[in-house]
Amino acid sequence: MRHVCCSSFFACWFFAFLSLHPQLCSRFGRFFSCAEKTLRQKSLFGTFYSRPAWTFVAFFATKAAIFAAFFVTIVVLTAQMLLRERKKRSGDEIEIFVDHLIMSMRAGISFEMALRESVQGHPHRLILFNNHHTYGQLLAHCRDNPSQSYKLLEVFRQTTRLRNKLHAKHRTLSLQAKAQGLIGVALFIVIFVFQWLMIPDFRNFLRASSGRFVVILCAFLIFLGTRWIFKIGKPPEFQL
Amino acid sequence: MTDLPGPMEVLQQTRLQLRMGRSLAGALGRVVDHRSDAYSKSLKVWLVRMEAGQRNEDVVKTLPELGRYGGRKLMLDVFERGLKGASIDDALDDLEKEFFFSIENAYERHLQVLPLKLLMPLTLFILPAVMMLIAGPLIFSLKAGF
Repeated sequence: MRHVCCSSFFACWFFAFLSLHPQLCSRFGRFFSCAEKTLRQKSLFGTFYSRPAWTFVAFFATKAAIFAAFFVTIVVLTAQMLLRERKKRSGDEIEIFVDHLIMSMRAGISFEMALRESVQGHPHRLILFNNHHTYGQLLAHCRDNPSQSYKLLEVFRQTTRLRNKLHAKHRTLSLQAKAQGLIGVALFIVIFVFQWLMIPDFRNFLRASSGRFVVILCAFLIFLGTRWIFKIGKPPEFQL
Repeated sequence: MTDLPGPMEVLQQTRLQLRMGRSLAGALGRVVDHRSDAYSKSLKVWLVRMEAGQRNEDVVKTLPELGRYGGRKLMLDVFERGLKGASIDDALDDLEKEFFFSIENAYERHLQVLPLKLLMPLTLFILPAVMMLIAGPLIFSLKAGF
């Protein structure tokens, strides 16, 4: 994607450079067998789309815009995922903490000692655990009844693993749909901004009432499509 | 983090509370007290009525939320046995696994058909809109030329 994007941007810059130098432009036009006259004349296609070089630019720029939209969306989604991962770490930390406790107890260390070892160097683990209502209760119970602690922690670990697996599935499901919806919206915005900035005929198009209607219709269709996609992405109702 | 479906959450929390040495009635009461979903509220009423000596079938008839699906009914049967004094730890463990697999299956099924389902809004709404936005000015200038 990077190569396609770069090639499109390169093509745009190349044609922009040509257009700034009339002599080069005419030579280029002759090379592609479009006479200087043809480039300048006004035809029934209007002022902009009649110029082959600019049509070329428009084509490559639109292509670049589409890839840029994908690129922007992917960057935004990656950033969002990284942020979520950072939040998720607290859940992972609890799982690691419990795993460490269980492993130490399996090796024959008492609950109190295992707890002390697990917390050593990671005091935030204990705070994380105590902050949660049920987890705090669990830890207090294990302290009061060390003989039951191993079984209790094993049940807790099993439960946490199942929960995490289901949460991962839930995230995958909703992210897949959200990505599609966001790409649709980003594509619309990028193409609109690009046409507004780069194509003078687009402004004439917007001045006309039919043009405005088409753009509003497009925005409405995008809104409906994105809403539908988000609705589809919601997890199903579990028949439990 | 997203919450798990009500019955699954109640089941997991109850198992933990039972392991902490509480009675089933105490464990269930503690779990549903901290939850506000419709299922937990109904379960709270069920527990009160069961402790008052009513029959499970009669209570479930008046609380449609509890008898909606097979899994919920099964869970109540196990709880009823537990309230009568039977050991239900293994049954709850099996039920938790069953619930987990049925949720996992539902996710898998949804994930399998998701790409196909997503094609519909893409082809019906988003792609036509983008095409209209790109081709609109071109058609407009063509029309202006004529």
